[in-house]
Amino acid sequence: MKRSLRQSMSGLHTWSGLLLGWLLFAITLSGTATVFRSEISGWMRPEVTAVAPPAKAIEAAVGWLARAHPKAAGWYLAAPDDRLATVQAVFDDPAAPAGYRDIALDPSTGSPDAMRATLGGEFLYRFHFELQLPYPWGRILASAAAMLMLIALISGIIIHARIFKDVFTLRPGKGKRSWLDAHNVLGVLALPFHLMITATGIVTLLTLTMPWAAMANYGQDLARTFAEQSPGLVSRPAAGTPETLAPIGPMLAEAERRFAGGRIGRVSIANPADANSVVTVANHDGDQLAYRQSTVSFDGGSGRVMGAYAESRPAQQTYAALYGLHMARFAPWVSRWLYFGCGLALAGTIATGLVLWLQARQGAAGPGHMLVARLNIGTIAGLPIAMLALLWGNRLLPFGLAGREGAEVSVFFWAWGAAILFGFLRPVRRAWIELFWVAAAGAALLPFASFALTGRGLWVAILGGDRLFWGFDLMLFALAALFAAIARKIAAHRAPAPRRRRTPAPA
Amino acid sequence: MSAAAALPLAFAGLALIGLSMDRHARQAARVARPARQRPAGWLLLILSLAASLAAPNWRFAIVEWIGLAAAAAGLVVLTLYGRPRALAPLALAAATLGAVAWIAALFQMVLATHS
Repeated sequence: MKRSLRQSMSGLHTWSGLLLGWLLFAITLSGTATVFRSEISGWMRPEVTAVAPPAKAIEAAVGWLARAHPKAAGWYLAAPDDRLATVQAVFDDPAAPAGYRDIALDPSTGSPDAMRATLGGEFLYRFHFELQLPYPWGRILASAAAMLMLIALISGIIIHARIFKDVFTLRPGKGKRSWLDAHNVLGVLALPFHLMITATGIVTLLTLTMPWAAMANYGQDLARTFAEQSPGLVSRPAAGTPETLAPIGPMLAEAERRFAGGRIGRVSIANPADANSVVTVANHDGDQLAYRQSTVSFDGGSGRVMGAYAESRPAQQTYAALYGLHMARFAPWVSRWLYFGCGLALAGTIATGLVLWLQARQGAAGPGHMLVARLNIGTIAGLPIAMLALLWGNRLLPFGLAGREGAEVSVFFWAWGAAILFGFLRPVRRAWIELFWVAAAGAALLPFASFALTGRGLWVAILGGDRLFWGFDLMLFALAALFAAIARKIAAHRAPAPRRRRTPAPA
Repeated sequence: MSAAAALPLAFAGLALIGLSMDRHARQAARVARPARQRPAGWLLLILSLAASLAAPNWRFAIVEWIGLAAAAAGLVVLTLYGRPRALAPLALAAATLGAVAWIAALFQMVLATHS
């Protein structure tokens, strides 16, 4: 009885892991990098050196938007904080290819003109759950992958039940046993994190993948669903008569007073040039574990308070807490690095799992095995190269290039495609080693190239207390060391000797 | 700064739990004494969690502790991998360090509430 459960779980674990393994690796690695989304955004906009208090920066941004994009139906702004200096602005713009623009604004001038056009950390964040596919397919696929991940985690606990016995075991140089040890250690030690991040990841997309509860209660009435979900939201149709916005500074000050110690987070301005404009200020997502809690709304023309709302319904609180746990906007530095480390461990669990699938089938040489072997290379070694290529593209593409932010993304995908192709063309072992050396070189040389092109190098950053830039450079050197260590490890690994047949262990 | 107490305590706790397992005890060249080491290990883990929870925001603290415990477990694995015989002395040192940091943090809290 027990044996058959173990066996069926083994099959489930193997195939749920393999089926979307490469996708899961990409989702996990981009998500892990997204832990430092603000820092990546800051690094990718080296022209920005000004710092301004959040309210001043929002004032500057609103001033620029009122001049440059007064006709937009809404401006959605995220205030700068201790991690990111720029204001992030989203607004509709018929002239933009996507119909809307998502840009960073300088905190002192409010304008985007003096900085290079880039998506910054937003690209990896979006890729993490949209996979660069049209809405809603990317999100559905990411959600399905997360569900398979949860299945793989739970079935993994069942089939590797012995992992809790000698839980700290890592035996080097024993071929498949070593891979299995690494897979178990990486998977088990941060198991609470893995379960949490996977389950909460599913929760973030729950309204898309499981809309039936809402549909049963509200039918197709989206407006009412939305209104009851966020009862604090003040919205009203445009009046059609133009009116200028009252100064936003006093509104921000009033909102901050009501947040009682909380910071200003998001500011949205609906119908900004209309008599019925509404300014809504929400507190900072990172002020509490739960995602977005309190809002204050103002009549844009007069600056009068129209309503204030603090979420207190248990179900919404629970949802917001699970959401916040996944987004980690709250995380102080120690927790943030732990999120990063645990995320890398999860990526490592997936990568070692993919390698194990092949190890368990050594000797078999069908086209399927060939495909898995090659795709493992292109994904596990290729994706870090693609992410580094994105950063290289950010530094090397000319400043005024038309569609520059899209070109950076193209560099990412071309680099990834090239790595996959390389994996198919070279002998397997050589491809692994060479690609990891490429990644190591890409990471190690980037700080120097960045210094040459921007002047914000390591020594300058250390002497000037520029934490973002020295932190980023040291991180790149650490990654280079990691990639080089992996490349050396693979090179030192002897080609597997003719295997002594033993009873096959479950993979 | 509760991590300064929570991390070494978690390391010591997990190391003791590890030393109570046959294979790891052999690796560390120890005669296994599971009866005493395992409960002591769990006690240290609980102390580590308590050190984490003595922070202004307990919700943040729980999340941080789960990560710290994973990091401590990773350190135990690396120690057993590279210097297995050092595990027992390192656990003792970590427990001492953690206890000192724990008492210091407690002292600070008492001072803060009385001033």
